[in-house]
Amino acid sequence: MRLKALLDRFDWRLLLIFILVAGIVHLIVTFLAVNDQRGAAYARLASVLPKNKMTIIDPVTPRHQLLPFLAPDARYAFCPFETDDTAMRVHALLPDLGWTIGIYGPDGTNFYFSAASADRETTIDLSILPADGRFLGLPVPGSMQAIDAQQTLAAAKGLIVIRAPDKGEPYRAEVQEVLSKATCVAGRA
Amino acid sequence: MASIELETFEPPPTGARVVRTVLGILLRVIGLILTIVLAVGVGIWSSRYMVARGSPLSTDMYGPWQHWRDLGREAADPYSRAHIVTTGKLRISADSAGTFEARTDSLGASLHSSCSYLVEGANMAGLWWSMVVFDARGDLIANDANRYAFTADTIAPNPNGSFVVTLGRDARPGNWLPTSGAGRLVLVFTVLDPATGLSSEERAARNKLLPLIRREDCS
Repeated sequence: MRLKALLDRFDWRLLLIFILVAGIVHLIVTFLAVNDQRGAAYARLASVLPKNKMTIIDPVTPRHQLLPFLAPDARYAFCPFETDDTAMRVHALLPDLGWTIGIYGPDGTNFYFSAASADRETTIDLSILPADGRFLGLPVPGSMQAIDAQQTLAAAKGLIVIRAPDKGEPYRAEVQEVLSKATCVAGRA
Repeated sequence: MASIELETFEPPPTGARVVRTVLGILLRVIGLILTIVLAVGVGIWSSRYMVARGSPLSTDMYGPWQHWRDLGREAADPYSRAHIVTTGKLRISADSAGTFEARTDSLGASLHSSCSYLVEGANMAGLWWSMVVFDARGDLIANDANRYAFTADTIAPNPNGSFVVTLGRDARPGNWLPTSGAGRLVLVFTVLDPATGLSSEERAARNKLLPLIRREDCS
């Protein structure tokens, strides 16, 4: 009886208002968070690294950690790119298991990814064009080198990440040498 | 003969009636304002929690390991997109790797640097993996050994390919990851898919091989 009396006195309209307002605020805050890209990996790296150039960063340590949760299990080469008035050509060699290349949008979307095979080298050659589909000239003829992945992508800006697994001191010079051959160059598609 | 008692109706004085009406309206307005304030608070809190920590809408749990199932994908849900943007993480798409985070041990107690842990993993059958320990903010934990991670390349495995990593403040023989005085810990386990990719069945089988995290002792 007391429960029934309580339920009779309860203002159900307030509950409805509560659910509606909480739901609307929840959605607004979530979509604001999606669109606030100031803290995203791209924004953080683009502010400290040169644009349209592949940069090999120092090994990740507590004193030199460019991003939160950036794993120190690898050496990284980053290239923040913008294709406002040009196309980008990306070339990389992935010699062994654990080597990867990824292309990320400013919102962290990983729209291209390739990992090395265990048994052979993988050569990657990519063209990134402005997302609006402008004509930027005919493709430059490729080299005679065998290419495993040749692809054209469309993106206005983003981040190219090459990851080389850190196998320890004896391998570091070799890893550095392969990483230093990776390029990200502005030019014709 | 039945008698009928008639009560005389005395209307309350006009002033008191006005006060009661005003009080009633005031109480309703206060109730409405409190409801809206509470709803705004709950809306903000629930959004932030689901973005920062995830929920069954966007994550899967495998024992203590949390996996954002759409992280990095172009068709990711808004919570996964907001998570990657607000945290500044750089994660390989869930299409190409499994990235798993543990904030608790296998019994559900928070990972903390005042305790030591045994992390026991199965043979990952040719897949490249890495295990890294961070503090709760995602910073590496400074230590004299300069040791922050183990990978499929750097681990000393057991003869059958399985492995054991110890987490703790004090040095241990074998695969020891120092946790110093970092406070709460986050363990990140990443497994790369092979270049040929993994089917959903193979992915499910992989997820069953995730390491167990057992607390040894606390000080």
